[in-house]
Order: sequence, then C-alpha cells, then structure tokens
Amino acid sequence: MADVSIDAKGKKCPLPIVMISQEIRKMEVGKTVEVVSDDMAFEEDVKAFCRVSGNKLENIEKVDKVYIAIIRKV
Amino acid sequence: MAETPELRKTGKTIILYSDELGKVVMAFNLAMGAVAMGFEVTFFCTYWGLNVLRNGKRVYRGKTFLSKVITAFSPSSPLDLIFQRQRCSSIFTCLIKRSMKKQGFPTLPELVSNAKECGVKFVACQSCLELFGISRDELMDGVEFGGIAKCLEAADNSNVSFFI
Repeated sequence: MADVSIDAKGKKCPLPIVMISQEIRKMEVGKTVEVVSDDMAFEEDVKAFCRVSGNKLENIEKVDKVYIAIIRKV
Repeated sequence: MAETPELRKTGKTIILYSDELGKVVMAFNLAMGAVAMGFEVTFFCTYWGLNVLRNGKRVYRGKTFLSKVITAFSPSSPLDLIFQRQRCSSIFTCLIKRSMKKQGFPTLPELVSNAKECGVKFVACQSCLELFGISRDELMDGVEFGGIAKCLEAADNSNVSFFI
C-alpha cells in the first residue's frame, strides 16, 4: 500500500509526469506514491522519469488498459 | 582535465516535428553523418514528424469517424512527403526528386531504411499518434513509443539536440 495516491486517469502526456513530480517534491525520502494512468505513453515515460530523476520505480503493471505504478522517493 | 559525465555524453537527439521534405532529408543527413562518426542517434518523432515512420498502410478499422477522415487525408508513407516552401509544391517536389535521383542522392525511404540498419533509434510520440489517429500498425517495425519524459531522457543523454 503506497503512502500517497495520484489518479492521473484522463490526463495526457506530460500531465501524469508533472503530477508525479509535484507530489514527489512534497514527499519525504523513502515514501512511496502510487500513480494510476490510462495514457498509453505512461509506462515508457515513468521509466524514463525514474531513470533521470533517480527515484525508484518499485513496480508497474497494466490492468484493463490502466497503468498502475509505484515509485519510491530516493 | 578529468572526464565528467557531461563529457562522456556523445549521443545526438533529433526531435522531428516537421514533415517538410527538405527538413526531413536534412534531419536524416545529420543522423547518418552522426552514425558514421560513431555517435548514437535518437529520433523523437512528434506531430507531423510521425509521417516519416509510416509504412504505407492506411488502417481504418477500430478508429473513430474523425480519425478515419484524418487518416484519409494524411500521408501514408515518406514517399508522400513534399517540399512545401515553393509555389506549385507538388510539381517542384517532382522536379527536385528527379534531380536528386539523377545526381545519386538517396531517396527518403532509402535514408529511413539505412538509418534503421545503422542502429538509429526511432521513438514515436504516443500522444501525437492518438491526436492524429495513427495506429501502431501503420508504422514501420522497430519503432519505440513514449512521451515527453522519454524524449527528454534521450536529450539528456546527448550532447546535442536538434529540433527540426
């Protein structure tokens, strides 16, 4: 169970990444955020975001055309 | 001077926004030149730049009416792209293509195919695919997909980014 949840359904690139970034800034190190998005670019974008920002992508899965990602602030 | 991470980046990123034939050919000249010199190249194709990735097919099944109309009016392959800056652009395109062929310039489909063989990475902007109603089946093989973060990651790993 993540510490924070973001519902980015209905939002197109780059909004999901912007929402993640805004939330991560407010979080403490070590906390996790769960993000739900139906944007087809989301999976690749969240991986790229984590690689560049240094945050850890704990898990990403696709359930019925919806991506659920869990990111840990590092 | 100690080598920093900045100095180690030698890749080139080309953000291809336009499908104007002159700009596209120049983009591929840059890409092939960079590859020949040993640099990694990533094309991020967005908006009209997506037309360079098309494989010649027009897919209508599964699309909304609006997307079908856009599909019917859009180029279906790099062969459909034209030089847009001159008057009578279709005639001018025909003349220039004939001149290019006579002088041994590679055609755009040849440039695209060579670029793929040389390991140039092609990334299609997913949002623009949806905006223009382009199905993944209408694109050539080997294209990756992503959004702005993927584009910026490629740019971050490069020491030069071109916006064409």
